[in-house]
Amino acid sequence: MSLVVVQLRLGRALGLAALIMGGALSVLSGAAPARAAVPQDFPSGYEGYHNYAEMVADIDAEVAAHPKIIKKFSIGKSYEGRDIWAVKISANVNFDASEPEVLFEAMHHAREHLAGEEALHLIHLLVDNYRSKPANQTTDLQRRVSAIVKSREIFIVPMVNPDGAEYDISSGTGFKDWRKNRQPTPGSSQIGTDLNRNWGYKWGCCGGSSSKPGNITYRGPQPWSAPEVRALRDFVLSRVVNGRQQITEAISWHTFNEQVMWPYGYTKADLPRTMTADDLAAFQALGTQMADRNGYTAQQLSDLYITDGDATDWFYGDQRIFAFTIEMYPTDAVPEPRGFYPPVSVIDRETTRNDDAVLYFLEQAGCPYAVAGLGTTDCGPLYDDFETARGWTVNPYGTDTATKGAFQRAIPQQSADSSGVKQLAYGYSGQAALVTGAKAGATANADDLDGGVTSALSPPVRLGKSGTTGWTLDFRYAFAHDARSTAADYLRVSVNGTNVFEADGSATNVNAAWTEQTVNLDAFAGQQVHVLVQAADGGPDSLVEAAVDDVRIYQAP
Amino acid sequence: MKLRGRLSLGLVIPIVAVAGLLLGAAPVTATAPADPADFPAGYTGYHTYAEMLSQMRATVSAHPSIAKLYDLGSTFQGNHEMWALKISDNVGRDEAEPEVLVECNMHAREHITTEMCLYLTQLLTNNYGKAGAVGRQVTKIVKSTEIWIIPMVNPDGSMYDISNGAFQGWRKNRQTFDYSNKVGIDLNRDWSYMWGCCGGSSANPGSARYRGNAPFQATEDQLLRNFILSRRINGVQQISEVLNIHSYGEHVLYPYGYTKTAVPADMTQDDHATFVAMARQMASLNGYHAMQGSHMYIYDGDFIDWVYGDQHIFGFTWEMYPKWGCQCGGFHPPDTVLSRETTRNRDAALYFFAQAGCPYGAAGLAGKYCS
Repeated sequence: MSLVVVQLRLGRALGLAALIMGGALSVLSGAAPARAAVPQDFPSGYEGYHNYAEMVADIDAEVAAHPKIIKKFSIGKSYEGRDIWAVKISANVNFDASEPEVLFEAMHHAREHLAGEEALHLIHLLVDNYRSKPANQTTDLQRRVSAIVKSREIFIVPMVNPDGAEYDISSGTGFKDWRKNRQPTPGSSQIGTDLNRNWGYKWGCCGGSSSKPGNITYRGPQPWSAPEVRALRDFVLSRVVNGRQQITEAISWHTFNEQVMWPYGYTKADLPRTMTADDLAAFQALGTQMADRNGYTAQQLSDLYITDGDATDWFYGDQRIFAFTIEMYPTDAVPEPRGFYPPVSVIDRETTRNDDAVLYFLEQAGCPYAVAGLGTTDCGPLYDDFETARGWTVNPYGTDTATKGAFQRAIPQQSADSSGVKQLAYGYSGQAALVTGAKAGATANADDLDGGVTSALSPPVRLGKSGTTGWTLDFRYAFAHDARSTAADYLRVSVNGTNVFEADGSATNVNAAWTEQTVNLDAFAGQQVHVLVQAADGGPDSLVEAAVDDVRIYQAP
Repeated sequence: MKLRGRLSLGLVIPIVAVAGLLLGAAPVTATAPADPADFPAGYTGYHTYAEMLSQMRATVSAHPSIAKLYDLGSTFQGNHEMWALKISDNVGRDEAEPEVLVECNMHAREHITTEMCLYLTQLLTNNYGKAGAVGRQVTKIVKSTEIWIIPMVNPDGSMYDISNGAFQGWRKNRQTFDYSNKVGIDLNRDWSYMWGCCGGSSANPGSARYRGNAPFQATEDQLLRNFILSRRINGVQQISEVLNIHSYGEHVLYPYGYTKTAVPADMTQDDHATFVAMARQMASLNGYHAMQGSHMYIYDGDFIDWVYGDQHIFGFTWEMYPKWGCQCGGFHPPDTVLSRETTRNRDAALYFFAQAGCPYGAAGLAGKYCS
């Protein structure tokens, strides 16, 4: 891979950068790329930090020495055409195992070089301390790391913003105190978008970024306008396998102020509709546990200040990844710009400082809910709060007869007739649910279920070994109908073809209310099961609304 | 110090002295900071060290026949003592009764636990000999059990946490080292049973979960261990149950913490069944959630793993109010909730005390073990 790097660098030096990058990026950005910075080492006294080429060389050496557990790949190109490198670390690294995945990424912001050192440090921590055979695991650290590398797939992107990082040191004599990428803004002479304000979740919503191209928190002309952000987004989306996001946890490394922060940045509310109570409990507990291990402060992102369009908000808000932003050394007692440029002498101490917190975080990746005491119910074979797509299929057998109001995963709007509410606004937890015709419509009878049966099927899950007990299906449902309804209208839940729950219509008005239903599934122990949810407006047209949320299958102890 | 009791067994003092000499844990009284006058505004309903001691003394004065104060020794800083209140009828005599230990505030910032221990001292003394269901339960317990309550295992850390008029978020004790300028050992990671075995503690003195350089390096853990060992009479441990009260999360936890295995080789099936039954019963009475400690995450060198693994005592950890995810103040909820959140545990605590004669009874194993 070093050949490619050399060619790129030669290309830029010869003024051929635009040719190498080709037309696509230029079309997207609507501007010719600026002249890329000529590679330099860090300024005098800071040579111990890694510039882009040194980072690549460091990774390449690790890959060459340990090819079974680390591989390098590019997730895309920066604006100036540099590869944005990622590594995967896992035992049997070339195989996509069914293991929890964790993402660490650093240097959204150019001048936060210590965060890049943290990412490289993590690569060495995990790779250099791995020992395949237990007999060779002679220290606590080796045992701990080896267990993690064998049971997790870890992705590390050390330099999300290589253009900015290189530009920051391009004078060769000092730092440029640069934060953004190096992408020109169309219609402006200003350079650079704040990559951590350019993500598509609540982009520019809340005064947590700037619309002014010259500002250091410029969010870009539209979400995803920065190629670096698109590359990282597309990588994360590529980890959706069989409809389910494989990455369970992520950390965005930043500097500085020594904080471990959970979402959201866009709102001061602790528990907005866009977060579930169980997720907040896990965030708070995980954040507190990590902060205890590195001596940082645990808090919500917006406790610092409102940010919108940041990576962590998208990781959680869109992908439901337990994502944290960690601000490293030093505290704000050290003023800028010194705060962004700590001396080389602290790198080892201030990265090693995070080891216990990171290893703990990796150990929790299989069940981030456990630390809050929610492991039993929320880490069984199935837990779906319907806040993001997790692999359900509507009309799985092609037999649905409903003409309107089919099941969808969506945020229900409240609708009511003269007798009361038939569809409740929002899901039971968070905001979304599996619901028949989420829209309210002009009248209650608009966008309800009509014409027959609609169905939705869960992904397959296995219920342990045969003969085991305590298997529980637990869900919330709302089933509402007007007085024209008959027993031909229903909400039905079945497991592998066996009905385990049914609510039937009747000639009496029933308003919507969330109700919990628990079913014993011991009869299915050892089997692979699907949960099928069906709703029907089966008789003459009546007002029928159904919703299901928080479906769990777990083994009660 | 006239009111100080000393254990009549004469075991505690020599062991403390020897341990102090051996481990070089000489108190550094000269450098000990003065205690803050009170908690920060909005939290003054919590008890400082001085207020805790004064309340314990008042309890002894009001109930001298059933309450006696014991000094288990000086903390690392040397400006605090670890105080235990014994509650039992004929309190001055070491009767042949099952014994229970409840200790609180092992972690400095978990002040609500000190309030829990103080609540229990009031519950057991004020209701002794009284009519009504609670009075009858308490009277029976006080007559048939010897209960030891330590409201502040870590007074150095506790008072440091409220220094300078604000909370410091401090967890450990305030022990200093000749090999590091960092301060403090995590008193709940310093116990010898599976100490540092499993990635559930830190070897780094700067960590909030620093386990120390060796088991029992922490002065306060030496004091607590020595007290428990002093309760072995004629080779038989008198203490049948221990409650280790922490915050927060609203859990009832049982061992082990060092492994996720439910019944490893160092636990019997019957003991496990007893742990589960008792934990569930307590959780049903206080609304907490019962589980094995390691179901949260692995921890090693904790007090309760030692209590069970080494002494074969049925030990539980409570994590008090609030739940995770509740924006209720975390380690530092306002003092307005104290009455509610301590009273909430009354029935669970009374159940726990009532089981002391035969913990196995909770799992229906009384016939096998308690005849």
